[in-house]
Amino acid sequence: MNTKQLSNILYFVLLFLVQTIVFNSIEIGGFIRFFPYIAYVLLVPITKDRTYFLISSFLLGLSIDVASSSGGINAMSILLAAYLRIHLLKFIMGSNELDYQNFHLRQIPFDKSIIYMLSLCLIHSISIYSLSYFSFNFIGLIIGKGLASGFATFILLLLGLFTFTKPRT
Amino acid sequence: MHQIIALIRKYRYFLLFLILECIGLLFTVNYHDYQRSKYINASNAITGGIAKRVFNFNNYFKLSSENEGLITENLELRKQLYLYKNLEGILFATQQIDKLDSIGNSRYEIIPTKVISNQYRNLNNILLIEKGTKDSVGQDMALINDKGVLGIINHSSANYSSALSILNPNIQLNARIKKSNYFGTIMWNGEDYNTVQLVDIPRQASLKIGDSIVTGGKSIIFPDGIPIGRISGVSSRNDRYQKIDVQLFNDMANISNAYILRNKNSAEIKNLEQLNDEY
Repeated sequence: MNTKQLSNILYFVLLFLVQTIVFNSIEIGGFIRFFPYIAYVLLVPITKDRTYFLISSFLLGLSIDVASSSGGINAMSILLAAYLRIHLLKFIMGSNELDYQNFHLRQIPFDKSIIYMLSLCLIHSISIYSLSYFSFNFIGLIIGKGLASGFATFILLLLGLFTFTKPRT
Repeated sequence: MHQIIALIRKYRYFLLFLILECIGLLFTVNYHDYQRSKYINASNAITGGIAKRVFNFNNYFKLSSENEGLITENLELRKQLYLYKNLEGILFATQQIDKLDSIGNSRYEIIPTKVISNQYRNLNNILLIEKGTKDSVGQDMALINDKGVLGIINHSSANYSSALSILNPNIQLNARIKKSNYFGTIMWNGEDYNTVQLVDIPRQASLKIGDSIVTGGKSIIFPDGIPIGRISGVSSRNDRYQKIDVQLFNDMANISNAYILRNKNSAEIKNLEQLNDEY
């Protein structure tokens, strides 16, 4: 087991605990919730073989679902984000400029990393709310809550990114 | 054949994605169907244990408000005791006897418990409580606290149970207006966690803002007269009540001590109902 795998497992456990113990009980104004566990999708290094990444993301979501008795909505949402990650990056960066091996969020241009993080957060939170309401009658609530929570999670992750990582060139 | 394998190899991540999403969907759909949500449920031993630790930690911050609640409850109980002792000659005490009778004369067994995990932000909210089959707690028992109705228990493991919160559109409670005895149904529309809706009230019922709503007693689960809330808004059209908002007595964001009501005769009543169904 190398350091990369070890740190992936550490991310898994830490994000699970942070989400279930702290952020599952935080809600601002009855509208905004935080889903910092989506950071797993941002943190796990990009590799050519994506099987383990997809399965581990799904398992992380499923464990959070079990802990918060929410069926499979977190699992489905984080899997969607995990699957779209590489396509999103290719789209934002242009497929020629993407260097899989040495990719790091602080390495790519700031505006592009913001677009990348924000779109992942929004996709994830809108997916969560559409699955939990599961009905077109609530379309306004779904979009409102999804956008608000997506932005809130994005800001939280941005703060976390600046606090815990050093700039790279 | 070669081409098919090449095709599968090309789209293998997409296929994996689809398969996992289908598994997730299975869990989600089962979760929306409450009687089948057995596998992904927080009433199991592991997550119940985690939730209990978190609850113990958070509980320290709630001690003072919890104390206040207990003091007021004590006061209320003392009042009732006083009324009970001085029954003769006191006219309105008859109502209180009725109330005591429905719970007190041992048709219902009262089991004290604690709510260790409380959801109120989702559409389908679930409460997790600390008693399970070991304490003879099981499906279809009422969960109340000193202020009123909290929910109905739907699954139990040995030490923990999960209950559908009153903030869950799958719950429909028989309720009545305390003053006028008109019956209706309490439901939640998924919007505000302090407000539930009263429907099916006949048009001749007169009601005004501030009227108390209590459980109707036309069910095996709840006895008559458990408080629910107060009418906070009425909208009507063509002389018919469209929507009656009921502000809950409970602050659903802050609940901790609770009681389970076990109807001792529920098996008998269910048997009787089954007999009737056979004809």
